[in-house]
Amino acid sequence: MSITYINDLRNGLRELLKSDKTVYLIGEDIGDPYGGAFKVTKGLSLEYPNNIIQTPMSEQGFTGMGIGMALNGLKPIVEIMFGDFITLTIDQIINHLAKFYEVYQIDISFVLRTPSGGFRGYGPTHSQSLERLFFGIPGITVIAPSIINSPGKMITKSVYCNRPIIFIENKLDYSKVLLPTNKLINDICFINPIDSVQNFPMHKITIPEMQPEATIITYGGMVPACMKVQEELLMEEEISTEIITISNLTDIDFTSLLNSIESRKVITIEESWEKFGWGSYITSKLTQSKPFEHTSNIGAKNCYIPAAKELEDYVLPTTKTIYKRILEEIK
Amino acid sequence: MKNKNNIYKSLYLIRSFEQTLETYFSKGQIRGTTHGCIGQEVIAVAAINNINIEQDWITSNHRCHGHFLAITNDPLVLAAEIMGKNIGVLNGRGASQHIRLKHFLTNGITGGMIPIACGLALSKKLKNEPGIVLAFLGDGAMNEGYVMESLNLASIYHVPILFLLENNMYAMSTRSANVTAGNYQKRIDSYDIPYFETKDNDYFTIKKTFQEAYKFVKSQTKPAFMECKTFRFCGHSKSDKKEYMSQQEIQKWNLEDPLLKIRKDISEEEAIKIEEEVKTIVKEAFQTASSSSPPDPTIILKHVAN
Ligand SMILES: Cc1ncc(C[n+]2csc(CCOP(=O)(O)OP(=O)(O)O)c2C)c(N)n1
Ligand SMILES: [Mg+2]
Repeated sequence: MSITYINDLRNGLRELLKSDKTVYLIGEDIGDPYGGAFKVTKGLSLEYPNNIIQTPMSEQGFTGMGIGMALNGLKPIVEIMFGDFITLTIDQIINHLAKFYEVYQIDISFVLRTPSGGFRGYGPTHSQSLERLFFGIPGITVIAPSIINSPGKMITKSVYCNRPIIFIENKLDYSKVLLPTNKLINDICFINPIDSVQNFPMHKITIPEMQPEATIITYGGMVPACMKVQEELLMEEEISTEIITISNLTDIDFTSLLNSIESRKVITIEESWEKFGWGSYITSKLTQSKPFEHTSNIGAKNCYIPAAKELEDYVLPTTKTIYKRILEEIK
Repeated sequence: MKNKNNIYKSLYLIRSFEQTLETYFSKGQIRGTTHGCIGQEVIAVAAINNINIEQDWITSNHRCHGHFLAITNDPLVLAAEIMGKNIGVLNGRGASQHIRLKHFLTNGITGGMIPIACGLALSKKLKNEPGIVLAFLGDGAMNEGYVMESLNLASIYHVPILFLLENNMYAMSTRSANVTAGNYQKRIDSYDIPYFETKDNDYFTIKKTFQEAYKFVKSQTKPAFMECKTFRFCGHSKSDKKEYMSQQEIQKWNLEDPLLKIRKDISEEEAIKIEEEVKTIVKEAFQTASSSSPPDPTIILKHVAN
């Protein structure tokens, strides 16, 4: 049974609304008939009108409002229309939510979900992957599903883990079909969870019966691109790689991660800027525990995200640029 | 008259607490910072005495000692918190402006608690819970985008919130009149929120108007806004010498000390008795706090992920 990422996510939200009257969706334009800028919530306001709160354009205000609701035991899921606009919520998230959770020690169910990323020609203020702004902030957990996790299940887990969650979706992923685990995909690879005990698992995408020459570590919207690169490297160069995808971007189990790396070369890939990026933290932590033959970090060039296709493809890590970089680095 | 004695006692507790705190700070016996509310005590006590403490939520700001003491009458846990002691309300994690006790929450970002207060009020409405949210704010906060967004949100969602503006006319050293367009009443009117006002920093006037505003919010399940003109007799924070205020202004307000007004209605003998009693309580609270143990660093590990 194949299902798209957006439908799976919507199903997850629908299940939450159905089974738990304390769940509320809050955000701009999320009601019907519009159903949200990316249509994630389409139909839900017709089914659960009392639990959908359509807001004016007041991101600071309604994020804070959601936090207030959460303080009194409700379970708000706040949608920020574009990931770029989380800048407006940052004071509420860092100086209020995280402090209530850590300093005031209040268990709180609060999820802020937002679509991140570029490749759609939306230009400098509608294409960024700004989840990086929350990396390393104590009290904040950043979760990013990909096409190999069920975003619907992950949003449910996020709601019930009683701590502040920033939930990062990727615009390009919405229309993609979710991939099954433990099954041969495209006659090439298998996807297996690394540590199924965790709420937010890591997965490994491996090419059977071949020793990987490099390990690619990535998350979210970069997973499909990395899989494409994995396929091309195999077909064109007979190079085998393994991909490790991480869904909890900030509370990483480095022991499991280390144990599951089977090559001597680690390359991280993220859509956001490589400079001071997520990947550099990962490889830094890994190499503090164990020497590798090679580590590197691939991400966007240190530049705004331009609109024109040729420019955007020049700045963001595309399949082509990732392929080229990996080839250069492991040859 | 018994009632007036009790009111004076609550007011004097706050005053005495803030004065003692200033002394400790000036002697370098406390780290960090603090914001006193000397001159504004009547607002805290008049409001808190007239809410339902079991049902209502209260959000506050950096200038929160008066609110806290009006709720708890407990100078020890507050003094200990400010001194960073384990018996403090939050074991010293937050100090002067980061306090939480049950339904009372403060924070150090001006205006930032206001949307949260709206969310609390909305949650009460959605859950069909009795009670309202009392949200304290200052005139400086009135120019934060947070507050403007929140006034609109509170109004469109009809949430039971009472915004209580303690207008001491200054935001730190900035005279609010110099940086504020229009006036607060016009702003509030434009959001279709009923506006209540007191001008004389008097306990009984504030109490009466507060009761009306409170009753409106509770009975209508709608927001209301109340502005209390007041004056801060102390500096903005611990070492502020108020160089930005004119002597004339300070003297004018000093003549109208709201505590002296109530004191006049109590016999001198009784007033002195109350003052001595409160001073002893406060002194002992500070001494006990001061000699108590600091927190063990492991307490911060609760709710801290890797
Ligand atoms: C967002 C933010 N900006 C600035 C400050 C520094 N600050 C703390 S209190 C204050 C003045 C607040 O004035 P007002 O709201 O009138 O309250 P008052 O101090 O008069 O009680 C300032 C500028 C802050 N804490 N938060
Ligand atoms: Mg002020």
